[in-house]
Amino acid sequence: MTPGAAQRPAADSQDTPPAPGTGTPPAIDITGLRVRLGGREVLRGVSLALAPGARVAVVGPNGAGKTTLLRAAAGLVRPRAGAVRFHGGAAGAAAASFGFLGHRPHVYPYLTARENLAFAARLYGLADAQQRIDASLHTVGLAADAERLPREYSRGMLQRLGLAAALLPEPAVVLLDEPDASLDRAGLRGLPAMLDALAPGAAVLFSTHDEHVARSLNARVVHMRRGRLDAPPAAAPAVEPAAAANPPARPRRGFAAAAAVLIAKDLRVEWRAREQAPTMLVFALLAALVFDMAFIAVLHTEAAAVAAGVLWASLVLAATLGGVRLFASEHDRGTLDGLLVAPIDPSSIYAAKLAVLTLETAFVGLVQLGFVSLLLNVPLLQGVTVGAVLLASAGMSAVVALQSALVVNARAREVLLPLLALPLSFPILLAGVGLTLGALQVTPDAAQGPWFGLLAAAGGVSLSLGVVLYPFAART
Amino acid sequence: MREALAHIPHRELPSGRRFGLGSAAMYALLLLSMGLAIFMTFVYAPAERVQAEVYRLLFVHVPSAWLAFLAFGVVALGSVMYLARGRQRWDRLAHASAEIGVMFTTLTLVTGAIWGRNVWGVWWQWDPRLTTTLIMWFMYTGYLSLRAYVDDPSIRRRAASVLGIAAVVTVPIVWFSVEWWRSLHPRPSITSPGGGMPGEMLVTLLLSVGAFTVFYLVLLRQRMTLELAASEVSRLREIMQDQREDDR
Repeated sequence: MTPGAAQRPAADSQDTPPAPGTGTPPAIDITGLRVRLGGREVLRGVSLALAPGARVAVVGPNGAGKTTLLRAAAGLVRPRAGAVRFHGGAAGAAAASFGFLGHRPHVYPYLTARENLAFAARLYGLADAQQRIDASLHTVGLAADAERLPREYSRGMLQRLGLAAALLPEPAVVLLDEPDASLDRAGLRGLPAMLDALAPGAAVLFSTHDEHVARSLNARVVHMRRGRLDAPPAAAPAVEPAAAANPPARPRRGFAAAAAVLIAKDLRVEWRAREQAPTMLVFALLAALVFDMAFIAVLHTEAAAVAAGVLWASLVLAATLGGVRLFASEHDRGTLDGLLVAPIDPSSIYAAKLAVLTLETAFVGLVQLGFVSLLLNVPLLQGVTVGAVLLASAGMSAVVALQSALVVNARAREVLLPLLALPLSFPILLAGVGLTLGALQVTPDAAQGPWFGLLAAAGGVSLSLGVVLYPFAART
Repeated sequence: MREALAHIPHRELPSGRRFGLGSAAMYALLLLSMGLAIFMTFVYAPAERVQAEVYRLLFVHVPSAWLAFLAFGVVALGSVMYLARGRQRWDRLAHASAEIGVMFTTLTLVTGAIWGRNVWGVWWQWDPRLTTTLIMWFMYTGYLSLRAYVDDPSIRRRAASVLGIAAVVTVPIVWFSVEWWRSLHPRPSITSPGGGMPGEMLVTLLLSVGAFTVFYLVLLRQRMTLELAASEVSRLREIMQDQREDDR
């Protein structure tokens, strides 16, 4: 044990007044936490307090509830009862002042290590980010691999990068779910130094299977079994901690600023991975061919009417397809958790996803205008139709993005999403077809105003619903 | 099973819900009002001049449609209250009401199709009222699918509540579709001025609406009780499981 570590204040036990003698509120104060997941009581009244600077390892078998305890502490899981407070603040209000490393590191495989950290820095609104990023990369041993994409990394390297990203804002409270997972021997040896360097003086609550890891980090061990902490060890006399002062809560980033950071990240990821837009485009073109063939009997006599139908049906289907992976990819990668614990308005996550899907759908729609014009020899490329495609792309994306967030935890979500998104897309489809028929003079006395009104109204209602309701859908 | 239950503290056991006076009164009212509505539909109300007997479907079609609107409104209310208060009973209300609403919408569509076959000569018309009603039916079928596809109860309740609020936008679209678009569907004959129907028909229709409302309330209560029983059973199972593990 290093001398510095010997001075580390101990975790306070259950029923022990927080940080006795110091008068400082505990860095983490968990009281009577009960969580039910999948119809099972996973946490059954967990109480635990950590003084500023203390380190506590939660050790227990699989299924004991360690991960849920950390997720609940991070605010990612809603407790049925009990509360989590940081530095004596209101329960759940201090989202800004902790770092969280989940079961899967919050790393984007198509952003380089440096870009991943730069994204975290922008999300948290950090000043002097460049210096900190360089130092972090050096500390976790990834300086030489900083410009590589994490998709080429080993599991251990991903874990190091995840740790660097979680600790980049130098949080005063750190929550780590098995930080030793996948680390090689050198990584394990270096873990204490990484923590000391990246989050000096922070209170650290972490889970592990390995008590050696707990000892190497000079952490007090508490055992967890079936959702309860075993009788916690007697509290050691508290020592005045070096960094006991209450850290100021980090201000929340503004809605627009956060959304802009997220949009820039998503566009960069899409540019590199090309997972969404090209697939949506090819699907839309293919759907146009399918519809053309289906209506082959009337293609010559009713080309304009078929063109309007083909354009909008394929566009609605393409937007729905784009929605399938919109939230699912972040969810499956674990990065959605990283966004939800960041000091941003959750609605900005929805707004960013919506904006990106709008751009992709609009791109597909504009190409489709040209493609269907060529296929059916009708003049679809007009101001009205271009305007309709742009407005409808936003409206459809608003519908699809909310439903995409809703089905993220569902079985067979790929099948379910169209079921939920299509019924709400009908007004947009109808208005789009109406406008296009008017532009092609299929309906001679067409007044375009009401159709644009319907498009705007449908989009506006969907957008408002999404912004208001997404935060409710986001947390489990 | 019995032994395991014996360990459960008494307060953990579900409160027995007996068939009390309230239930008896409700069922009596249902029997009475439905009986009267059937009598009035087939005997009291006169035959219609043009449509003859088939118009009597109206006394099922219109109340089902209205009750479907009410049921989906209750889904939205239950969903808002669940998100605001977090009490599970609000979610049970929304779920039960959605199931009944889908049933009433199905009844509306089926009776409408039968009526249409006789009056228009076709089962289905691409008419705004019909189409928007079908879309509403799909929307709430989707709501029930979402509930079926999310395994975690707390995630399911939250997701369903969000959808229960978003889905209700389809209700005013159906309601106003005959105003907004040229429609073949008969226009409201009670609420619109000058659209009057003979007194006997109006009384029969109103009584049918009353009987269907009692039917809705009885179903709602029954479905919510069933849901409560199911959740209490799973809670008891969990307690038994815990005790078994503690005993080990």
